[in-house]
Amino acid sequence: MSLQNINAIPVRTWRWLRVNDTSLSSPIPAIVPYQTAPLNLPTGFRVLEEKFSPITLEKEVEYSQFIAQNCNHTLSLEITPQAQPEQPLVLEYELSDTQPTLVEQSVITVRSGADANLIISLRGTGNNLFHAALLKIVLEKDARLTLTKLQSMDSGINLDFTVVEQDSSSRFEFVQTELGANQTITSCVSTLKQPDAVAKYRTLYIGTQEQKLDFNQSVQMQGKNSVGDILTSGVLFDKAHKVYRGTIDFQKGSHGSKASESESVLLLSNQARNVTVPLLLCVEDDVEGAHAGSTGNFDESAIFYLMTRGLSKEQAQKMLIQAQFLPIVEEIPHQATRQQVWEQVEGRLQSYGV
Amino acid sequence: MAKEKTRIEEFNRSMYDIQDPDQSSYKVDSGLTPEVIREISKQKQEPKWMLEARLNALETYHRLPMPTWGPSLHELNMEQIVMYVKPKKTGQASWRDLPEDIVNTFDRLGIPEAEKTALGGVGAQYDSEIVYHSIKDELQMRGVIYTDMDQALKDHEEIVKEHFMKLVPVTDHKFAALHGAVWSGGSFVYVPPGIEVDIPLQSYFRLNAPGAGQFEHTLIVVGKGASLHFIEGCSAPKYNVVNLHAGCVELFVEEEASLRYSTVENWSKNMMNLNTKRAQVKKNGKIDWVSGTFGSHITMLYPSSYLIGEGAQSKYMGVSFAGEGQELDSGTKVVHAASNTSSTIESRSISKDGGAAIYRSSVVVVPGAENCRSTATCESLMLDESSRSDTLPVMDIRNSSANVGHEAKIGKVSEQAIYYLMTRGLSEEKAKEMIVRGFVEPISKELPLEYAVEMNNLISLELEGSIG
Repeated sequence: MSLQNINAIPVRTWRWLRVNDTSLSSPIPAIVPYQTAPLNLPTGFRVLEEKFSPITLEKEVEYSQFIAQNCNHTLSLEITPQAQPEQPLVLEYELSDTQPTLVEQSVITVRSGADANLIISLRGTGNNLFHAALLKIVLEKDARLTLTKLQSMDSGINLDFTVVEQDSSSRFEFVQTELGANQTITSCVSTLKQPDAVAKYRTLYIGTQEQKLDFNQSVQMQGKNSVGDILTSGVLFDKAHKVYRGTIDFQKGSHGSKASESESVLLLSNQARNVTVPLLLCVEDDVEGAHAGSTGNFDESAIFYLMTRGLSKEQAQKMLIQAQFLPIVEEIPHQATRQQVWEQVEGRLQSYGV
Repeated sequence: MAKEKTRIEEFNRSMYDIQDPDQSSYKVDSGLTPEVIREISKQKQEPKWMLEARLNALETYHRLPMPTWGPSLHELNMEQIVMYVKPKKTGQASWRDLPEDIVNTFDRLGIPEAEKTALGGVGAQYDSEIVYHSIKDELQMRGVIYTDMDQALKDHEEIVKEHFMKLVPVTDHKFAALHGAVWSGGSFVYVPPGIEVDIPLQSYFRLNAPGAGQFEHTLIVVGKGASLHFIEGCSAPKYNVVNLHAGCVELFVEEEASLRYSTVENWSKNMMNLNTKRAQVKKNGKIDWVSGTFGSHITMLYPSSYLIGEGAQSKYMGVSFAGEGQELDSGTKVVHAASNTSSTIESRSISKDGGAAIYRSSVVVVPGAENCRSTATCESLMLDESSRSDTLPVMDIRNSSANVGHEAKIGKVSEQAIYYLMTRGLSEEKAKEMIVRGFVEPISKELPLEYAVEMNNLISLELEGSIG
């Protein structure tokens, strides 16, 4: 089994750049059952017991069919205005040699006026680990959701696709950390269908050894006065290879909308490869859009300055990486989770003397 | 009361749209067959290796697929394009020796006048052949060669054979292969080492025949330490059938040399402009691309720079203006294939009346290329909600000492900026005019003077309403 030509870019470009889509570089292992732990639902969260309908993605048909055919876990959640942002729902998934594969489909409906936090954590230790997820989020009018996704598999394949539909004045904040797996293919597409909706993405990643990371993030604005805000930051070591496609798409009806996208990458190895594809698409005149991308090594003058203040070179480098990640980590609304992320980052950097 | 949009007038094409009667001396049959290729080669009395290269390119053309990205080319029917149209007279050294209608055409375009006042040499192509070529004596005496490609193939065969379609191989893409099969006309320039050509050379390409293709090949070699400014202009009258332009430009910039290549493209709106331009820059050499794209129905144009020598530099400045019925897909590619190379990219686009302006680029830093620098800035102005503007850059960086940055913006003219200028005493209309001219100024100031004037004429504002 394999998946080819998935995570497609919204507008194709030259084939020789090999960024139009991606494919799995290793075969998918046999999918075996996965047993989840009982959920501890805070107030305002309710599991819906109705029969689950498979999610179909118009532009990723092969992937959604794969999920539907191999799914070993489904979840349908409703979040009501009774939810408290200070009491997040934490979903933890652990892959291991006894439970190496998780193929999940989830639907989350956030009701009008609700304001909630959801944290999804995925870890894994073992061989032939495989995770594939398809998450659909529906935000009703005035609904707010902060979704934090943390991934730190020791090895294996991680596929993670999220689609979001936003009604008027809704707010979706997405914080994503990719700190593991041999190959990660991840996508997040928000469609702001009605006026005054906001989509905000924050992503950090560290690539090491021969890791392959493939991102596809898109904010599609259809309602007037929408806001899109994408910030991505990463560090690449060894022979890591990363492709990031970030799209701001001002579609018909998005008068008065504003969006920005920015990615900064520290490239710390001559064998690593960084590919950035920031797209800006527009069919409305009364909008403001901007994107920026930068790739480079440590700023030597900043290193020098910190060393004059008594830090070692390694401490100075670590501080600069933390500074780069800070705007992302601080968006996680849960202190314990922020601490967990810093620990994971520190763990990844330690073996590089940083 | 609803706000009225500020209008940007359509470019005045009356000068370009005058059609000369079709009085060609010879035309091949339409379509693309080995017989057509042999006939073109026979007309030109070419060496055998060039005919073999053409036939090989034709085979490659039939094998390669159409692009799966970019504007749709479904209106292009190759069976209906006439690949070669020979004018009544070719290769003249005096305007007086040309037919009156051809002279009148180039007169209207201002070419003879510019030749007298501001140029070191001129090449004028009409349909498939160069009809006129000149070079000032002083440049010739210094060893500068500026001639048409057919003559270069006879007089400088070894140089042509060494360089022809080496930067743009026929396997590069389908329309490079087409060009390799049916190319005709174009200019050859050789600047010896150390020679600074301080007044520009210009080639102008005029396609008159309806349903025809123009496939000129421009080959320029700038020797070590030499410098040159080359200007290229092109236009065609508008017909109800499709015309095709698939030219090719290959530029070889040797060590310490510099070349500025300025183009103002003003094809008619029935033209498919699928041009390929590429420069190879050696150690400490420099290429400047200045590109104004105003015409054609569909353009796919990406001047590319291959920086293969240490310290080589590339600068790209492009402005495009997409109006009704136009899809202008343009940009640039840079490959940093040596250490300490640098590139800058600056692009401006305006789209209106349903036009689509697409900026497409790539910046690649290969492994082993140390300390490379690249910055790109791209700004788009949309003047109404029926138009489109897309920005599609790609950066592929494989060296940890590279420093690469890119930024892009899209939007309308700021009302705050208009207000500020009005507080300084300008009328609202003058403020808007200043802002729009200022938007394109970083690029338009780099265009040759007469084209910059036309660029400013392009922007004439009605004095009511507000922008955006």
